[in-house]
Amino acid sequence: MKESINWIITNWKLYWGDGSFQYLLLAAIIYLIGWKRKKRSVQQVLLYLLAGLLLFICPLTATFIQKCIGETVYWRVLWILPVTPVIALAGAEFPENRHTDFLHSGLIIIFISAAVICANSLLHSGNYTRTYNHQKVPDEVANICNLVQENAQEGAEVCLAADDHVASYVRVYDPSIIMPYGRRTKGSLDQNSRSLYQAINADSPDYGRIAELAADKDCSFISVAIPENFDAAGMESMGYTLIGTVNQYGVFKRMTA
Amino acid sequence: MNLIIKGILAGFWLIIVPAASGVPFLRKKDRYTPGECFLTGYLFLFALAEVMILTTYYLRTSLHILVQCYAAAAGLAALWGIICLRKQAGRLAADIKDSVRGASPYFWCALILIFMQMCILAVYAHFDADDAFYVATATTAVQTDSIFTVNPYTGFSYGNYVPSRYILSPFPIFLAVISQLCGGLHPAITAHTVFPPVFQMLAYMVLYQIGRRWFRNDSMRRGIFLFLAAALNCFTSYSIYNAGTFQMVRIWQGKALLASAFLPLLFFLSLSIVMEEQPEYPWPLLFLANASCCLLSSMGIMLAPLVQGIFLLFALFRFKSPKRLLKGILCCMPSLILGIIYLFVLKA
Repeated sequence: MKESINWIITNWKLYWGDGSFQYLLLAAIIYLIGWKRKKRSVQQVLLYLLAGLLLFICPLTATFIQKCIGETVYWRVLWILPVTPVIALAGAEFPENRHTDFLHSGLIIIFISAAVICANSLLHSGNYTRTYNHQKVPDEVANICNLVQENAQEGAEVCLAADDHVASYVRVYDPSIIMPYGRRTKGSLDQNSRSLYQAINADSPDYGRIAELAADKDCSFISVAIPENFDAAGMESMGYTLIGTVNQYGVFKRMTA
Repeated sequence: MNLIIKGILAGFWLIIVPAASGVPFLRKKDRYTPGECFLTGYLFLFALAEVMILTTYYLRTSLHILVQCYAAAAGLAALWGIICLRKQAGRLAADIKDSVRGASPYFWCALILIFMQMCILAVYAHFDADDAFYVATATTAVQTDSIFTVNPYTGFSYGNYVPSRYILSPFPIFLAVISQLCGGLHPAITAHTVFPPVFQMLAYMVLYQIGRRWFRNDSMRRGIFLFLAAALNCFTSYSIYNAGTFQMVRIWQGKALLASAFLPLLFFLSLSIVMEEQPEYPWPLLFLANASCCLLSSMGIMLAPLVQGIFLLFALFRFKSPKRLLKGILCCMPSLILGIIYLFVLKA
């Protein structure tokens, strides 16, 4: 029971992070209970919120739901709570209808300014970036895929081994490229594929080992981060030649393949 | 094909067809708005997609057959909708004119903010590694003309393996279908540039409907409500788990659309149907909403009946009507059936 409660609290904290939305929600609920509780619509939404919270908090229902949706994503149950609508409801209930024209105009100017500030804040939240490819994958991934396709033998199957960052987007950009493993080794066929993933994602990669494992998996191309004073001997010993670089990544082609 | 033509096709399949195909479900209602038609249309099309994709998957049919079937069915539904709309067109146009005239300045401020958000989502990129499965499933389906037969992570055949968590919620295949209908637009472009502004608009239409319900005769408060909701969404990056973040950064993924639009829509429909003596909308919409949630994410299969279940319990206490409860349970059938298939067939 104690474990279950701890797990619920952890998920609650995960969901709200370091923001203050939970306090805003609480303030909205207090306001609605205190001043607007007689409205039927408010009663319904408050009851629903309470029921949703109970479902989330109650260890019995939590255990059942966790078994169905998985332990790691239990925080998603909080999606059923209409947090934004409830806060907005309280905010919209707040102002009185007695507006003078002057106050009305002032409020509109404030709202328009707030709209611009909000959009600007959203834009600079660190979530968005510009890309130079229409598919909107990281540009280095698009450039690596283009380089690989330019150097691929016509009609031959292209198999690329890459680190986790690149591997996550390669088949989003170009599904004709096959890979020995996907994001976080997902889809890997055997232990050698997983070993290759680990070797290529190591803090200080052993390039000889990477080339050996990639050759074993019939990879015609490798994309791996290389240092400035890169020694290609390890790669070349297995027939991989550097055909270009994209940012920190070196792209190698197996010439004997 | 020219990008502009693909854009026009995207507008046709993602705005015109949903808006038109929603009309037949609302024709018995005295008055309905374009927003209601649009949302209802999506409920119908998503439910249709769920049924069609699951059927074609089990029949091992290729993607292009699915695309043709979906296009025919959605096209026919839209045509039927336009025929139904013919008699109401004048009234609807007059209503739109009145709504525009009667809208409060706060509503226009909200629209400005929502439009800016849509532009940001359409122009800028957000990298999400979950695309390695969701979008790659669509690109792989298009590349191989198949449905869930090739592993999107690698490009190798799934063989006998079944991606049990995902096949019952095949939203990535819907993405593949739409990208094909948009003149073969790359699924990644459809997901990252076309879907976000359309689904953002859809999410706010849901919020607008909620606002309309709560402030039926008060356009000023409706405008303030919508503005506050849009403004709050700009500040949701305090954690990566909340519904607001999912809406603002990766709404092209089924689970994000579920969290930001379809669970609130289910909440709204439950209030308007289950909790009303005289339901404002027909009961089948609740069934379609449940099926739509199933299409979007495996989470929807579980969360949709939770939302509906809470309201059904309230309704049971309030109306003491077993008939209403039975109707509600019937509306949860898609979730219940798929949930049982997942837990006892696929997972086992």
